[in-house]
Amino acid sequence: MTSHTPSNEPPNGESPAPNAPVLREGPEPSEKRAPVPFWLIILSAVIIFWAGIHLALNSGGFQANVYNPSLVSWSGGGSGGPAVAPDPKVIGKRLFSQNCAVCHQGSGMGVAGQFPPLVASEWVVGGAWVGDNHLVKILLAGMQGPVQVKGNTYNNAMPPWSQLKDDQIAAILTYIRSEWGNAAVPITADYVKTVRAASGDRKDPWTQKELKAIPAETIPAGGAAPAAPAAPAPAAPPAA
Amino acid sequence: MSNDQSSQPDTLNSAERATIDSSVAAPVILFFGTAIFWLLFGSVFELISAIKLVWPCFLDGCALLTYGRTSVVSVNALAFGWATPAAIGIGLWLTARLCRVELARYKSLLAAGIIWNIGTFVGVAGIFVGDNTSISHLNFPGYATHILLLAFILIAVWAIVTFNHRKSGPLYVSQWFLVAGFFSFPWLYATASQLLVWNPIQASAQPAIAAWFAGGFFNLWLAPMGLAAAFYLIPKAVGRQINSNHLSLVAFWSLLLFGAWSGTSRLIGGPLPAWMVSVGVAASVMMIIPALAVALNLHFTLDGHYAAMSWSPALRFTITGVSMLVFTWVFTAINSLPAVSSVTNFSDITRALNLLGYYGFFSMTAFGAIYYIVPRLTGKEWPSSCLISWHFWLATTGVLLAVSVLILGGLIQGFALHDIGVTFRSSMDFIFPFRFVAALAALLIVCANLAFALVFAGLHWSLRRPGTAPALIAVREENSQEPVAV
Ligand code: HEC
Repeated sequence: MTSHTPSNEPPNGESPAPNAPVLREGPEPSEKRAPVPFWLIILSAVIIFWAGIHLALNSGGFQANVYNPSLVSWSGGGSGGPAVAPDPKVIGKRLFSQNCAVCHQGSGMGVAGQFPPLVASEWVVGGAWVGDNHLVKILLAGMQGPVQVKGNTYNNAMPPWSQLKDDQIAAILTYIRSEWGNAAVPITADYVKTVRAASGDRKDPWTQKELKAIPAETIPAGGAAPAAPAAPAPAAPPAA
Repeated sequence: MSNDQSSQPDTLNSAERATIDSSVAAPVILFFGTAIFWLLFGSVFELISAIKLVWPCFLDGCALLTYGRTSVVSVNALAFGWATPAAIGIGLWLTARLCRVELARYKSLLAAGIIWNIGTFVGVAGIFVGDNTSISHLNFPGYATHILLLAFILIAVWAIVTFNHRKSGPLYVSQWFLVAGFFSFPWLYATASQLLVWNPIQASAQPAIAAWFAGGFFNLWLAPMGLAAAFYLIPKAVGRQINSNHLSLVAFWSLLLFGAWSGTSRLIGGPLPAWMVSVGVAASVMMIIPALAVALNLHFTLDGHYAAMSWSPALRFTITGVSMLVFTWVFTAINSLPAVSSVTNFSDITRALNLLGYYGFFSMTAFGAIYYIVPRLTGKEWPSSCLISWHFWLATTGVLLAVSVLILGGLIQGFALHDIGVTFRSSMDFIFPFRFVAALAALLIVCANLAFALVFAGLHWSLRRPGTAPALIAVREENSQEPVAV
């Protein structure tokens, strides 16, 4: 376009003189009419088709109460059903590394003289007079004072874990009973619940001596109700 | 849109341009100036929040500066203090230019600009004192929202009146985008404020509305305004016609149709009817269509003329910005696929895509437009091409660095969160080094914005005598066929 100097402005006095940036401007933009590339039309059609299929398969019939329709993918993966409950051992491992590994170590070997091992410990897999109820009780209220583990004596304190839920405690115990070569029956959340109820609201950490006075219970391999006390201890004080 | 190019001669001469420009100058400069203040303010708070993510005890012990407030303040100051007024300023100038009419009653626009900034100030102060509504992008308390809406209605009314008095013949593609933007914003903002802030609807429906607003705010407000600027500046700067009005039409209508729906895809797995999420996924994937249409159209227009990018600040920023818009849409499409989003949903990838869209696309395009518009309004040239060059490289490096580390770290974080055997704590440890680099990138962005603010202030304090040569950021080849393009 020709550049207009201020002199060929309409003579209406007020209009400002065009400044340098305005004077070097090109013409106002306009458009050519080139056709849309053919491949773009095809690609757009494919994208819209895919979107339609996706919507059809995943809209749950546009009903307000369908939250998770079957997600049928081309590979056949992903069912819309309720999520499969995760393996308690996996959850147990995570809870263990969050809560217990600081003291008992990720390897379960503990620290000599301070934190007793869990690997092959009679407290974990069961021993002469130690039952599954003792294990759950230690977790719920903690433990202190001298304790023998695999022939070594430890004298330290373990904090209580009653703030964890029944299924979390069950998951941790199931994990430590089946890891590192330990092979004991899983502990169920129901069992933790029974033991918690039996212990009442005991807050003080257990000592080995107190625990020894409580008759041992073991969950049978079937995982059903705990067996009757292994050796009915005479005149055992009620589980405090 | 245009049917015959010959029927659309360049009816605007320099004198008319100068008259139109001087009629909009005051409000446009007001919007740009205040926007740049909020840009600096918001990006400093973004930096503070990024540091807090890496080093939580940074600036602790003061309720005003807790992460919950600084991060929200930065998002809202950038969205309503910077991006929206910048878009309004660009929109006002473009509307007047493209409609070829002088602006009547610019005082009402000055008033709107002042009211808007009062609203933003009240909103930010409201967040600081603890009145955050906790809805993303709508965090301003209700009392600020009313003020903002009032200001915008003044602006929208002006835009529509101007549009009706237009002297231009057939509509140009930028005008379509402008009208769409000026209509969408009040519609989105009023609806979302009514349903979420003023009279909140039942809680279970709120996330869907909030996601719809956040998607619409970007796709139906910022994207059309940025594209309107790009479709005006690029052909003008290189002195060529836009390649294809058909491609422009495809881009425009596909953006309008799908843009509003794409927000809900991020609600995957949430307590909402499945179709809402699936509609969002379908719409996000279909956003690849406008992305390609815009990219092809502008590429064919620029083909063989990219050289002007090296010396013209306006062109360089605009083209960089639009390229990042294309990437934003494509990445968002990929990220919305259920198989992907179930992993990435709560990871830093969301942060990366927001940054790419808001800063990489919108801010860069707005910088380009401001570099083009302001010399015309003031008659002064930019004071320092060296600072402009710093601005460009700091901004580009900052945004690309942050986006790439956050995508990478976000993937690792997403898989860690997805894995039931990994503790939350460890997923934080994995992302840590990436967030550290992202905080450095936030610092680069603050420096870039500072450089921009300095150039802008320098122009107004007339650090350069009038009549000097335009600020080119590289030496223009002697025998270049390209126009000066600044
Ligand atoms: C603060 C450190 C600490 C933490 C954390 C800790 N323990 Fe202990 N634990 C001990 C100490 C110390 C003892 C021995 C107590 C004593 O000396 O009376 C012990 C004893 C035990 C015992 C019985 C002895 C043995 O080694 O078999 C078991 C079983 C046990 N802990 C399991 C756990 C589990 C499961 C967790 C995680 C929920 C856990 N502990 C967390 C310190 C800890």
